Amino acid sequence: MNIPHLTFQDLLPVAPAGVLVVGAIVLLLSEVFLSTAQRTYQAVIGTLTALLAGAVAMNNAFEPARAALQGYVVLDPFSQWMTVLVCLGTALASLLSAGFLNHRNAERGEFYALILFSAAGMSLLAMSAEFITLFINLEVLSISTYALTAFLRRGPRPAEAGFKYFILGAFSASLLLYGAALLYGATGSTRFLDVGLALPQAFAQQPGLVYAGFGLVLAGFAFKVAAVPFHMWTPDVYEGAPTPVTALMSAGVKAAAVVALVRTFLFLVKGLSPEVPFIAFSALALLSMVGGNLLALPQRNVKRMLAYSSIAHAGYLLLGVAALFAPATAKGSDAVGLFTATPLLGSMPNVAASVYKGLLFYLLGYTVTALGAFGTIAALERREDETRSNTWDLERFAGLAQRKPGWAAAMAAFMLSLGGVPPTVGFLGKLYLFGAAVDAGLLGLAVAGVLASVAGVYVYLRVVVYMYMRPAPADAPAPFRHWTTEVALIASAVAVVALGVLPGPVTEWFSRAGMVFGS
Amino acid sequence: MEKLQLFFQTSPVDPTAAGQALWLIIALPLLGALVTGVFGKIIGRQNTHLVAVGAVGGSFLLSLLVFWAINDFRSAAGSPFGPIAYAVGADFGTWFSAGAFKVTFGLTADHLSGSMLLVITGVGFLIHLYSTGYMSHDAGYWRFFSYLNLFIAAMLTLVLADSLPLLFVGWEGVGLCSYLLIGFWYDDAQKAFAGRKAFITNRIGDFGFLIAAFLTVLVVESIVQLPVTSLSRAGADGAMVASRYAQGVNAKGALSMPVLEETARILPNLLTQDIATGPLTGVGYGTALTIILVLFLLGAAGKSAQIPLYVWLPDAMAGPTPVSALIHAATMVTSGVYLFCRLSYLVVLSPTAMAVIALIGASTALVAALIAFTQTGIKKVLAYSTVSQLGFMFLGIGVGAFWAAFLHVVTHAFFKACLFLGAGSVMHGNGDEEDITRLGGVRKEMPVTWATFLIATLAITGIVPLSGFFSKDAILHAAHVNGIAGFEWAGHAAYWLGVVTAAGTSFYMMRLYFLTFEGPRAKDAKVPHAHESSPVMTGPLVVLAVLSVVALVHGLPIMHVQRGGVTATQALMENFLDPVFRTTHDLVAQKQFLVLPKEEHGLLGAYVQAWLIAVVAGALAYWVYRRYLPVVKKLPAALEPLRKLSFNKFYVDELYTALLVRPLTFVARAAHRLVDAVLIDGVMVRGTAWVTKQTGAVLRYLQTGDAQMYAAVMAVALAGGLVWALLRVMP
Amino acid sequence: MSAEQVLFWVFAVATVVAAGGVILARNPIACAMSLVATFFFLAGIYVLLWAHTIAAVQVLVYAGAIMVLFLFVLMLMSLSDQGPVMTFSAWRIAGVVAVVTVLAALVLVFRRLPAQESLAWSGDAARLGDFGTIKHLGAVMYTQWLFPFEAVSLLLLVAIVGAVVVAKARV
Repeated sequence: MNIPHLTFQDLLPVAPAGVLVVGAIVLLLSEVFLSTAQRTYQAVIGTLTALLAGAVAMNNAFEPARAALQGYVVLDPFSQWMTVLVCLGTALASLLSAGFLNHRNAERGEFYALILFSAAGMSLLAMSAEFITLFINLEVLSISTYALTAFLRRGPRPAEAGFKYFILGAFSASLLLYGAALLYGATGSTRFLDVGLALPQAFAQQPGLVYAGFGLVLAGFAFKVAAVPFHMWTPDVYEGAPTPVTALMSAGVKAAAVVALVRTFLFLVKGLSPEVPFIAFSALALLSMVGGNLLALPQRNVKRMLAYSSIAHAGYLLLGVAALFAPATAKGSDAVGLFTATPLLGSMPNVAASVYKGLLFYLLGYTVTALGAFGTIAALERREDETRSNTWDLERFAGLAQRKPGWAAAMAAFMLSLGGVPPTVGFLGKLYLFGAAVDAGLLGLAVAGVLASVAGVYVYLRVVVYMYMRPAPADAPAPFRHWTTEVALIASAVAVVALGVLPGPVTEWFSRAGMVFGS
Repeated sequence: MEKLQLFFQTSPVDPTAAGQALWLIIALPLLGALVTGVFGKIIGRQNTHLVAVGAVGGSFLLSLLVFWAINDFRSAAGSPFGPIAYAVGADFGTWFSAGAFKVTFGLTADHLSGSMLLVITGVGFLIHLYSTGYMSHDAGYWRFFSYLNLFIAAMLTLVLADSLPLLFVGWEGVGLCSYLLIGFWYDDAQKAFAGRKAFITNRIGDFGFLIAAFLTVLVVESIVQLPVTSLSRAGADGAMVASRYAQGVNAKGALSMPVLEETARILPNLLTQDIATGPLTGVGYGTALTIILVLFLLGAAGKSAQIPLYVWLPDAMAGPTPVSALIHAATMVTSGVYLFCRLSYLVVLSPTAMAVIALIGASTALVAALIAFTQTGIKKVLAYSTVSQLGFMFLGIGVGAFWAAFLHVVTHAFFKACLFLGAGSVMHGNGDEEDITRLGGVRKEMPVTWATFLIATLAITGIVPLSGFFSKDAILHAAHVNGIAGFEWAGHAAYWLGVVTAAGTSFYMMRLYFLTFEGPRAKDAKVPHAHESSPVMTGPLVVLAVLSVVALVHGLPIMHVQRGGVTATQALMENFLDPVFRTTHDLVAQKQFLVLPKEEHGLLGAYVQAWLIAVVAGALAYWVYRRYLPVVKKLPAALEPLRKLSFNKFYVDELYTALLVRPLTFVARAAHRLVDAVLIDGVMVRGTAWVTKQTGAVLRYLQTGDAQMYAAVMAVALAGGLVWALLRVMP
Repeated sequence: MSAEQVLFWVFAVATVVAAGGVILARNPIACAMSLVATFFFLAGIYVLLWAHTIAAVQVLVYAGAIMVLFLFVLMLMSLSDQGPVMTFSAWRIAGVVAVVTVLAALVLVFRRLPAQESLAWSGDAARLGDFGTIKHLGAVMYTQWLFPFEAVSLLLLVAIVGAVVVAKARV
């Protein structure tokens, strides 16, 4: 028998997830033994656990890239930095939840436990290097977010959102699983490393089978990333979920899915003719960037608008992914088009390192910004609003600058960051990502992305206009105050501006993420 | 003496630690600005004062420690080109990078920036203290102190920055604070307009600064591309210079001070060559350098109120008086001088630029002095006098007397701050009366203000033995003896303009003094009797007056140094700044673009001459304003047109309006009609609205909320993608 | 056609027909019973694949425990006999067409797969050894597939917590 020999080194990559799971179990038990009326301590435990896990992951991020645990997971800076980002988002989300749930008298240990479980799922998903592991971890992440979405069961909205998310999520997961099965059939393995090794021969013999598997796996990922046209669930689910959960979904789930997608397809494109993956990613990126921003235009519901905006941001991330898979044979003399690569310098430079850095920085920026923006929305929601239709209407923000200048300033910073206006982190993220895309020669796509994001700026600035230039309605409710919410919002606002002004140290860390296992 | 020297040269804090802690000096006032700005209204007036003054005071104490550390002979700031002696600093990593271009977040304090530190935080502290009295009735006190603290933070960033981009952050920061503070009483349209004028004028200068910085990057990058053989110089092998240079650019970025200094060391042999790579191909290095320096001069002219951009400074007096004292006299306006002292190693490589700087400075000094003759507003006179003194400083830079220019920065900071605060005190005690013809006789009613104002006036006019005498005389002396190679005439012209201006300074300052403090009280005075200001206001006055006397120590030629076997006598400040200007001195010796006198001139003659000029001009003022005019009541008719010309500031504002503002406004209007109304409003805004409406219509159809339909969309997309991919491989 | 092939076709067709019944039947109880049938026929296919343990688990867990739970829930909810009437909108028809297209494309792909002798099914018990037995499955699961196995335990924990959260009283 083949007894596995596991050392401490093998457990390093999953250590952050382990910390998160332990924290979650502590929270579950706390509900049994310590059911006091005041449960803010649970949010604090959740936040501290997430921060501890983030610290562990950050420590891991400086390890050299390698496979661990019999090749089921990898330990590389890319996934570990992603875990740091997820933990950051989780910490902020659980802080935001404390005030939100407290206001609704709905604080429960299970809620924070599920948040931590989903974070563990994200972390594990990002480092999975085998299809079955990937699928299981995807489900850990998905099931906890399904449950979180339906957590507040008042009014029809959360239940409907949870159900829709569950059904469509199961549909997409089955696509992913079927695709993985087809690829197993074509290559005889589920480990990415072996799949990558066997693919060139398999593609030469059975290109149809490989493409079918490729397409199905991509469809499954596109659902999780919320790329157009696999995005339809997003606005309904994001709107129905408790707002802090929406924040976590828009930032964390997306980040984990993008990282897992990059890792999977780094192996799945081996031996394939390069245009097909490139065009597939470019098309998803284009549709998401243009679609997300255009769909956001007519929205007066700010929460829904941010849901569409998250689709657009997925598009920007996919632009970076497309740059990663741009055909290496592209030449400067090629024609410029939407789905072609035309490098600025005669031949194709190696953009991988700058793409990884750009992706991570963008995800970092999006995490702090989205958490802050959704957090502000959450603070403006009233408990009585659950059945009203105008809960998240723009009108809610009218005159916020006069009533609550600090909140308005923070929200303005988040909106500017989402729109990519300097000196916020959103601008730099876009700069790095679009810069990498231009280096890879994706000129047409980058121009389309910039134009689309200009349309998006209108959407974000409208919120700022309402806050600063419209008089407050007489019955405007004040945001509820809870110290956790304020701490989270201040932290995100400071991060948005500070990282926009001083990105240096972080980008230096992230530039190590170029060491991706298997690239 | 030996022991005293040793005491000052042994810092109680480890110099390395002092370098690491430099950011604290900036962080303190920044935090103060944040606290007073956000919570000022909540925590109340007293606490706001405490926070704002405390922040600057803390910053001052830290600056003292840093200053002590940089006097320590062990202090050395790290740089890619070997440690910099008598400096402390730290690099806090990459600030941002774009491709090969990189900017690090590094702070350095050497003797130059260390002195500025003390001036900024010291004078800043006094002015904060004074403001707690001066602004005691203003409702916007928290806003005021927040801006003031923010200004200090920005100014400290400016002087501590060890790269041009970071310096530019401070540069823009002080500009912003200046704008906010000039327009502090923004409900007065005229004051808001003055703020705008300052902002826009500075924008023109900043444009020059930015272009100059971009050109500098191009020059540095072209040097990196040069063949190693062309980089050889005495005592250094080309290959080694090239590799060190490339490493330095790589590590610190093209615009960091150490790289610029090394660039200056490399440039002398390249001045006649053409740039071979990059967008500047074909331009000579010498020409490029001159263009860069002239553009930097444009930037400095904006900030430091030189011709042609000086027009904003007199209007800037619309702000509260402490602001005028701190920003528009002592610190911000000297940042142009500071910039050129920093870049002195580049300046001495271009005689053309030196001549331009000297002439601009000298003419600014004269023009401003002429305008000051007839102004009646007490702050207006002081403002023009500031412009004039800044002109002196640029004159000093132009003739290569960097230390003298900087000494004038320091002494001017003391006596001009004292004058402005004194003016503020006078206004405070006289019902905010600004017109000196409606004051008079304030001497007895405000004894402290009078005494300090008199001392500061004597200092600025250059009466021996006050500090202003030594700094101004050092500049004029340098203009007299130093020659700019190929432009000797410019040096002479600048010298004579300077001498005339010195006489003028004495005249208009004594006029200001006599009209305000001496003689009988004017009949149309606002209040019959002035009252002395509170101790919190007079305290800083006394300190500043004492400082404007004591600062003379810097100008005394008491340091004896061995140089090439000869014992030379140096002024204290010259000796103190020697480490900063070492490269500059080497380059002067190497290229001889600046011809220094062979032998020492006796200083006594020059001292007597300068003293005589000051006394005679002052006496003339006394005669005119105390003896002649009170009797005759009217100027001779022959002089009236001249008075009018001077009173209306040579119609420069009107000229700018006719030549620049009107045509620009016309273009802007036309653009508004065409681009805004038709293109943007018509096509883009309505177009966007149309797109919005259309997408909305499509969306209402698509986003039905039906989960099965969502799945169907996904299935269609998947089918489309699969069929497309399969068609490529399966015919 | 060998006996195995005959059995395969029987199970396969029956699985598909029963699965169709799950979707198309209007009575919820009929749907649930069709699902039981599907699970049984699927178990038959597992047996053909020599995966005895999985076949047994399929019958025990799915057809037994889970389906009983399903039926309890359906009865407790006392739904009417008549389920919702299926409607056809443009998008649903498009969805059906798309699914059929995907199916057709996959069939096309599978038909083109080259025949591989090594993959031919022989049912040679000697060669298979203990494949598919609990012993073999356990050995593989606890050694080769240790990490995914542990990850599944996390998944189950999360699923339990999630189910409790969704099912318990309103918060």
